[in-house]
Amino acid sequence: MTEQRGSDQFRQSFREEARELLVELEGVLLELNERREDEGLVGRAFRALHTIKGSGAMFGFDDLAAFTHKLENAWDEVRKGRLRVTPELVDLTLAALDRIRTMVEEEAGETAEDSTAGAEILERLRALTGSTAQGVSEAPPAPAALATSVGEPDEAEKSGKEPARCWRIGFAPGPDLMRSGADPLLLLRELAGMGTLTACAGVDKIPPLPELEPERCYVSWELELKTAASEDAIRDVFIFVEEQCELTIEPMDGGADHSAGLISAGLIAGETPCSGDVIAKALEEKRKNPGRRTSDVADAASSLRVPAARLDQLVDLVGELVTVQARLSQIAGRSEDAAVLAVSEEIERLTSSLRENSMTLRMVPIRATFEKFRRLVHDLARDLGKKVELTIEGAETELDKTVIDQLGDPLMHLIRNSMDHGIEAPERRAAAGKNPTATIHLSARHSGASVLIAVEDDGGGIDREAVRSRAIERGLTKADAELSDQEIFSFIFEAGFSTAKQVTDVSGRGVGMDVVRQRVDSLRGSIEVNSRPGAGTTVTLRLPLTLAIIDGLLVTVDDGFFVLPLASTLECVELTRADVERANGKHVANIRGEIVPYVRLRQYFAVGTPRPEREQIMIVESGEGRCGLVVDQVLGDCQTVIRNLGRLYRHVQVVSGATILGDGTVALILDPQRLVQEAVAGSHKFRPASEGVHRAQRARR
Amino acid sequence: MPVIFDRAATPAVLRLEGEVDIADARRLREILLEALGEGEGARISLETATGLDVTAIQLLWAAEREARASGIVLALEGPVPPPLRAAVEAAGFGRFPFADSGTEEGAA
Repeated sequence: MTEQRGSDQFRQSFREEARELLVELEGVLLELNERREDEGLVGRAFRALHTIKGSGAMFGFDDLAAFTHKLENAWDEVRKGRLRVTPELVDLTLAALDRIRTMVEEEAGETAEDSTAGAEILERLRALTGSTAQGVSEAPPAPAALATSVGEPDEAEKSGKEPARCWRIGFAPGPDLMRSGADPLLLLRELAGMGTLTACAGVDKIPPLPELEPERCYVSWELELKTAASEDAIRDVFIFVEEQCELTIEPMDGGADHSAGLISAGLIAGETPCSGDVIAKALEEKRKNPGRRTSDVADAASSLRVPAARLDQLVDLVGELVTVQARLSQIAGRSEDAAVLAVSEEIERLTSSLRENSMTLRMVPIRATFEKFRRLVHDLARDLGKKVELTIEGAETELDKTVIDQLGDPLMHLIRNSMDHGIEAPERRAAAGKNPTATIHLSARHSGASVLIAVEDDGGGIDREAVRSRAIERGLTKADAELSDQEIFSFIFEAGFSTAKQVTDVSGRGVGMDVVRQRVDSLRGSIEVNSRPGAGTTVTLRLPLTLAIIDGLLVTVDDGFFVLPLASTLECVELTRADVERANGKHVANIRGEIVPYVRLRQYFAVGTPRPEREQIMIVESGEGRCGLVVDQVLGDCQTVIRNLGRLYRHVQVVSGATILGDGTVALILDPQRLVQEAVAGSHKFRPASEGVHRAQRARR
Repeated sequence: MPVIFDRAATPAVLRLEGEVDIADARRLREILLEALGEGEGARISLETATGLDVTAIQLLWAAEREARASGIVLALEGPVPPPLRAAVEAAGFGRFPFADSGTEEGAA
């Protein structure tokens, strides 16, 4: 069972790497479609394919390795300038990537239908590459063919186009190489596939049986490889084990002449494996004179791949710790023992650092999620007969992995809708004086405790009236209701609100849009839609940076406790009865000369008890501008483990969750964003500060 | 299980089957230690083995060296499948473990 788990784990880590490589490759191919002569991109495509093939073979994905090998050969032709990058080649390679993706996910035993699909791709590839790529029809060496492949001239040698060189390779696996799932013999097999390989194993370091650690590798190799491949290609074979081995690669004097080799000088005569000393000496030299890869090795060794589930577990534990720490602080606060208080403060400080650290572990850039839409846009544009360019901004923006994982679907629906309904056909765009090539702009940026992700298109915009009449027709609103643009646009997210038939082609947004709202709601986010007829639409998703633990400010309203996210709170100002009276009953405060409107939470929550003499205004930055939330008291900051309120409360949008305080009391976590939005929606008199200031400025002019 | 130890046979027979790799290394080491510890030697059958990884090869190597040093007979039973021998030799193990340990290779 354990072995099975181990092997599954290695296959799983290969899958993860392959998925990343496939996304990267897809991006490279789509870029290549734009810049067909870019040799750098061709090189990247080739290397990615090579890595997928190599590591696939290493982890037992033989079919995948064989398939990718053929694709790699075609790209090798491109790299050597014998084949040109054409849209057909790009499309075919993209189709092949889909096939590889399926093979990566498959356990074993593909269906015949899949095989046919793969064979068809290879057939088309063969037709495309024609006679230039002999290798497209060749399979990589099979495991059993190792012995025969050794000593056979390589492909380039047969064709006589590339001069073969001789390389001496010193390869000493580190002690943990085998435990990481790598197998040196598979690497040797891959080298053998590149040309003529002579291997000599150093067995001197194998200890006596009682001292031998069975999972450790004690053998090192001295290899001679005659190949037309470059040093980089040789080094690529070791790409997955680089940080776990010592590797030297150097050309042998005398070019392709084997006579200079140590191995051919008699050591391979078959009597004994070569002495470990020879290898040790070579590696010692390498240590004295480190090559250019040393820093790469250090970089690789400084990062490691950890299953997301383990991080989730860590964050859960930290969450528990934070809750217990809050209890400790409260108890220590009541104690008069200075030592207990000191320890409690120290633990609070450490817990806080631990929390911050563990949260950053889960933060990943949104790049991969964004990049995969290049393919969607490319394919959809082709299918719809539209010209669309995807631009990306802020791909380095980081957010919690759990948030990112759930973003794919909503973004996909938004992009599909933009492409399908928002963006006009090229002729129509040209007729309207627009660039026939439309643009979809995907962007991400931080804003306080949130991340703003926007999908912007320069299409026809949403037909406000069509949406409005459809909403009236469906009974979602009354015919005489006065609705803001935001309110009207929000109808497009209603379940089943729009299909192409139900709303005119001009507006038409809405297919799958209910999915967007559901997902964004479940992430405690919000959606904002802006659209101008003829100019385009921007849908902005505001999402929390994290779903687990936040820094909050604990406040009270009457006898209730509430938490406001610290990141969205700008400052805290006292509000006296005199201040209130000076405002003549209006809910505005003068903050250093700026008029800021506020919402009194007592009033909002319909608390009947008399309000205290002095209240506090928490100034928050919302998407609408600056506004205040008036509370009774601010108790201080607290680390807040967010708990879900459950399905029953999912419609209470101003509350984004709950947390348990040190003494077991439950405090609701408020969403200032939503509070302000609801206040704006509920009262047309309520306008956040920026808007108010603008109006005042306009009035002064 | 690719590593089977038949203690009832005289001498005992260690049979390696299919792909023997790191997952079997710990058990293989225990069995080899047991076989050598008893001082009566053992025979090793690779007839149905299809692959040996480095951990298996180095264990067999160490066992063979140990047996030779202490005068214990650790020999092959039956032939080694040619592809297996070729693969191990191509990986730089110029002589396969036990190839020179006596006349046992190929013996029934």
